[in-house]
Amino acid sequence: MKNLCTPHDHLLSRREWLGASTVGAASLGASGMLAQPAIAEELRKNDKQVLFIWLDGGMSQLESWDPKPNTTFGGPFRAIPTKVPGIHISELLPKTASHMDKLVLVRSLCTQDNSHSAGVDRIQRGDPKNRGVTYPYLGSAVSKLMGPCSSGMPPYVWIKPMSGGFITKDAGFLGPKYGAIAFGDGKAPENLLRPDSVSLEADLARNELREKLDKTYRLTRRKESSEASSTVFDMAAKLQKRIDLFDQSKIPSKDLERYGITEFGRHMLQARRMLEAGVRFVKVTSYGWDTHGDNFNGHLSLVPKVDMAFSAMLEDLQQRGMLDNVLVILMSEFGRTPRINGHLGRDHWPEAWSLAMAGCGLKKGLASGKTNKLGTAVEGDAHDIGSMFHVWFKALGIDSSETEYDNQGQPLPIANEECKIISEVLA
Amino acid sequence: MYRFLLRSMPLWFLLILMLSHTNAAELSLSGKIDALIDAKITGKVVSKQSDDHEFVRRVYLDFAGRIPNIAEVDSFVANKALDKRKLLIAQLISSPAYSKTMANTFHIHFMERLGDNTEWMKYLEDSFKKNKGWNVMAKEILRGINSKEDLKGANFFFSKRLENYGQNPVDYSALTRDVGRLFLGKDFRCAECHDHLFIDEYKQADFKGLFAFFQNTYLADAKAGVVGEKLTAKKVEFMSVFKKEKKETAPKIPGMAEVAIPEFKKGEEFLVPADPKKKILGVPKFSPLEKLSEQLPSSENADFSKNIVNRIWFMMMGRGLVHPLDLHHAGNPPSHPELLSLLAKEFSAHQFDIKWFLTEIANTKVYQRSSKVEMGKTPENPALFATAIEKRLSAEQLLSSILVATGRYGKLERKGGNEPDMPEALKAKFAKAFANAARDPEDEIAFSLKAALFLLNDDAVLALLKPEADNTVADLAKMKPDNVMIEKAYLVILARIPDPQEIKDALEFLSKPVSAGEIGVKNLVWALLASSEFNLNH
Amino acid sequence: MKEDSKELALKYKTKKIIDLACPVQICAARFSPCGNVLAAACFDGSVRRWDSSTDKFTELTPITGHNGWVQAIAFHPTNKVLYSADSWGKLIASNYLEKDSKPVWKNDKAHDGWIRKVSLSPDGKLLATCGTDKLIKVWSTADGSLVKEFKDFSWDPLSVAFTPDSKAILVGDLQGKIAQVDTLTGKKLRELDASAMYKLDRLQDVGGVRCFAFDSKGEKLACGGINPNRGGFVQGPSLVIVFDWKTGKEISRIQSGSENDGYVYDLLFITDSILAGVSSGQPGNGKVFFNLMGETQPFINLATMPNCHSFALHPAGKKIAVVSTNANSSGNGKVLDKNKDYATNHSPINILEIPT
Repeated sequence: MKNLCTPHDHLLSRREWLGASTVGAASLGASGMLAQPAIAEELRKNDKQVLFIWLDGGMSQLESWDPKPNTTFGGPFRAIPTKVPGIHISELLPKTASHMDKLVLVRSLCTQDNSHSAGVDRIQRGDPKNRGVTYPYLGSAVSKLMGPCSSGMPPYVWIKPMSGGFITKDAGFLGPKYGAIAFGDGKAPENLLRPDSVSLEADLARNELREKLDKTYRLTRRKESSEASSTVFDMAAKLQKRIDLFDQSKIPSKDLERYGITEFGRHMLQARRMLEAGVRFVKVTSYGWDTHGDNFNGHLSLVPKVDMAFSAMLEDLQQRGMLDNVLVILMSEFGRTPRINGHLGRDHWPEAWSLAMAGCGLKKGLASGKTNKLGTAVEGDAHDIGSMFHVWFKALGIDSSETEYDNQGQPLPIANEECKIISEVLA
Repeated sequence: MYRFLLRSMPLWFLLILMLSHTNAAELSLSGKIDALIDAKITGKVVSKQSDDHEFVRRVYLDFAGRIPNIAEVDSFVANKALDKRKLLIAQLISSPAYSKTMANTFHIHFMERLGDNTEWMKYLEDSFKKNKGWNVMAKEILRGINSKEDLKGANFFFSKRLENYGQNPVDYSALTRDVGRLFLGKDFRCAECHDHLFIDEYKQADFKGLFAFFQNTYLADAKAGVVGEKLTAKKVEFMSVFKKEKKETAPKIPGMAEVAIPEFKKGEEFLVPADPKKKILGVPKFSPLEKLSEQLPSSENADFSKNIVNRIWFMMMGRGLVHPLDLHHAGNPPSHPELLSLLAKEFSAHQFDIKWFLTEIANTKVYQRSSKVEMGKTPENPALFATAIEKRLSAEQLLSSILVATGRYGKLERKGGNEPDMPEALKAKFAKAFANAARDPEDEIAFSLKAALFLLNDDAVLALLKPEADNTVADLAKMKPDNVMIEKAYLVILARIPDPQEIKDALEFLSKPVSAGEIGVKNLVWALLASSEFNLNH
Repeated sequence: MKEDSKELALKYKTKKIIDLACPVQICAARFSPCGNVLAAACFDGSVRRWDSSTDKFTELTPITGHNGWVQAIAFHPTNKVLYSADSWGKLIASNYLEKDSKPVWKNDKAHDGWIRKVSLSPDGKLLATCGTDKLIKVWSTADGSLVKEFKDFSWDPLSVAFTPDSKAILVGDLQGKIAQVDTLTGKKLRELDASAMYKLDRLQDVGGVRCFAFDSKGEKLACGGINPNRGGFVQGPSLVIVFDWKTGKEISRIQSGSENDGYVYDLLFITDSILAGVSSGQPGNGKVFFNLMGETQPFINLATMPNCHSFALHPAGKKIAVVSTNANSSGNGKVLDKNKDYATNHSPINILEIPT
């Protein structure tokens, strides 16, 4: 497979040759931004990716994908038509409504857990049958099943508020190698930035020597023992070449405005750049969606911010020709109760809720499944999260009915085998 | 001709042959180990014995927790004595560094990075210093409620596992599993709710029997790490999620008899009645932990012996005879069944004498085998031990070794004649970069992105490369860049002499414009420190 | 002269007259100026009515025609008209004494979306509304024609009130800003600071100025909201800030003792020195409070009516209507009632009497 060669590589090599000592992406100026068409082309050919947007706490399906205006539990908001005739969503998502022709809604989710602590885990791990092993989060699973993209960038990256780090627990039984690298508030991981005392040239030279030493070592030893370190030093080098991904000052203000001057907007924008850089699985988390109180003002404040960034993302992925290659998922750990409590809030509701997705391997412009008039139950086939895992793996080209994990000899299905795939959403 | 004979003979005959060739004195355990290993690698690709440089580095890492310094390397290599390896092994095992090193190895192995505790480390160091038998150590650790000053540290194994976090309850399941895994070599995780689905020997009764020892334990004093026991008066009831059959069990070690739960008249159950006002812990007359500590670590318990010899074998050889270390069962047989049985029998017969056992293993051919394979040849399955297995270095070994390699180890503060303690701040940084997460056994080579970035860019690491006084970088920077200088660099850092190509590569590197002056030397040292060779115990 | 709080507590010790059952939740309740009608704006698009001329409080036919939630109602000071606004943007003027009340006038698209508040000018000529479309609109009460629209605010207005002289409008927003705006010109005359009522918690804007109250002399302005600790399930003690109207300076702050108390949803000066109000926070929490001006803690602080969203004073000054919420109103998952139904919560209206 041809090694993906980014414009950054060329530029760096040339600088090295010229013996210049200018550092980093700062001197690349406008060209520091990824040359979109070239990269998109390569990614399109080889590498499928995932953008997993997690709204932690439980976004209300009644204030988003499955509104029931003017009904007992409908709340104050209206529903609006979308680009797809017959599909209406909450008035809080006007921009996304204009992109409905790219989206697939699933309104028939019915899952098991109405608590956050266990619920988040169960959803992100696909709530498999209990075999006494800790299943990997979707990001770790994809990281394992598909490996990194040909860009060599770390396969599982998590952009989140507050702290970052190396999150190994996501990987479950797969082992810490498949954990997530979390960028706290989008910042680079600890020690990513080369200190001033080490020039770029010196860094390249010392790593070249290190690689030579390892090559010599490998001539007479088992390959595997030094492979681990080679891989991660390579990944470190790839990441370090892309420190521009962590430099917010490089982003055109037009993009910042389109995604919204909010924490979520910034993180989504960085997620797009991570996808462009060839990260296999990018997770973006927004916290604070657990609106047990003041749900309507809460969603009035929160949902439009997602609307803005999400629609900008869809637009950009489409424009870059990436939407066919990137599987986009937007969801929470459950929905919210139709019943409105005394604090004007809605409580946890796994009984009948929704998610939205787009892109790789999916149909376009479809609302799959429905709930009854009041939103108190799914009408027709209800789907647990296991079904979604089957759908997502299929969309990425992995047959979940045939592919298994091997946990030290114990074969394990990659998705809950008691859940059925939802064929109608797949392309 | 000998080789032909070896190839065509069955094992038993071979053993007889070998035994009949010995003198009146029986073969040592070392000899027997080699015989059993050799029997399975006839005709296979077998690596040579390690050369002096390989050996001295390996044995210092295993017993002194660090690489040897240049003086130690030179003196060993120059030594002409035929039995110098045997002597070095003996010297290291009786050195002050040994007890500290073993304490750290066992700490990582048995606490699995759940947490640190000074008293626990002191207990371990002390035990290794005194060369306590493993059965005695296991008894003290499993007792959990030791009040004697010199044994209190042993309580940490349980006290740490009895902590709870926030609203989460105490994880008794994890505690039960840990005891099963670490002391019996059996992971009963999948047998908590039903008999294990594909390991026939692991029954739910096994899990529940073990669990019964711990269900009434609790953390009486979190700060002081004091464990208490509530009253155990009845059996544990359980039922499989598949078969709705009510069962019950008293505390029971798998494979051994149930412990009888004595009945007491009401009011007479306690040795020392609890008095919360006076902060007196109740001490019940019947202590399941006491029974556990008496019964589990005994010669009669085959699982106990097999587990520990397998784990010590792993520590020395890089792979257990049963691997993974906590899955002893018929479907996962040892690579060398007779060897495992032999080791268990001998270790037990020698009162679980750890120093003796380690000495025997270290003096084998198999331990001293090289990890190098002839170029072009493919190494055999690691389970055959035809080639030495490269072992992971712990965060602590890496830190000590980097300090030796950068010429800073000698400057560390020493208390009495003891090996120095590592600086706390550096220790913490290295643990953060190289240690696994809690309960993730450090039983295989794993080099993370975090570790790579740490070595590349962390201030603390780069500070070690600063030339100061006569440390490594300063020393090398004073020398002319020639083969003498490169040889010194290799000896100090990799504990060996470079070959001509390596000298050429290093000099080429130093001659680059970017390597001018101090920077070149720093980066040469860095590259050697960041190499796989340095970061492994080969 | 400062009255003793114990004396006041006795003086204002309310007695329950009757509970009015309402099968749905209520946003706001108000007594008509004549005192004969109690109206409640409901979640189901209706304005329910009760005959408040007697203590029987017989229920009358509801006014219908709204969509979503009827969020706000206000009575004309002299004409027999009730103005109601809903969360879809509709504004209706109804003759509230008629049995099958037809609209005097209505405007389906008064705002694009949720109308938050309706305020009548004291002289009865104008009506002000604010909505999530970020617009402040001033209407003629007579025919509902639009008199003025203030577009220059990038704020999220949550409450409006006419000043006592009818010449200006107060706008309180989500970020805790209060603007005094000239009714006719739309020019901002000054700004008051209630930013303590706002917090950006992670991604969520929490809080806001939820209600206003002027004393009868127009000397003091009280605003109600929350001092937000966190968003999500929204926790924080309830907060009232009182301003000296002339100078615009804050003169006192009343913050409740519990972070479960939540938002102050309604405020009213029942005398020029006694401010009463209600709050609603965590399910089962919230207070009905009476506060003497100058004191930082209320002399009556009832916790017996949970989650109160509205407080109305009968014009005769002897009766109060407090809109609360049923107990056990929250719960994760599908919590069924005794009849195994998934029923909606509801807002009982507590009619209380102030002793003579």
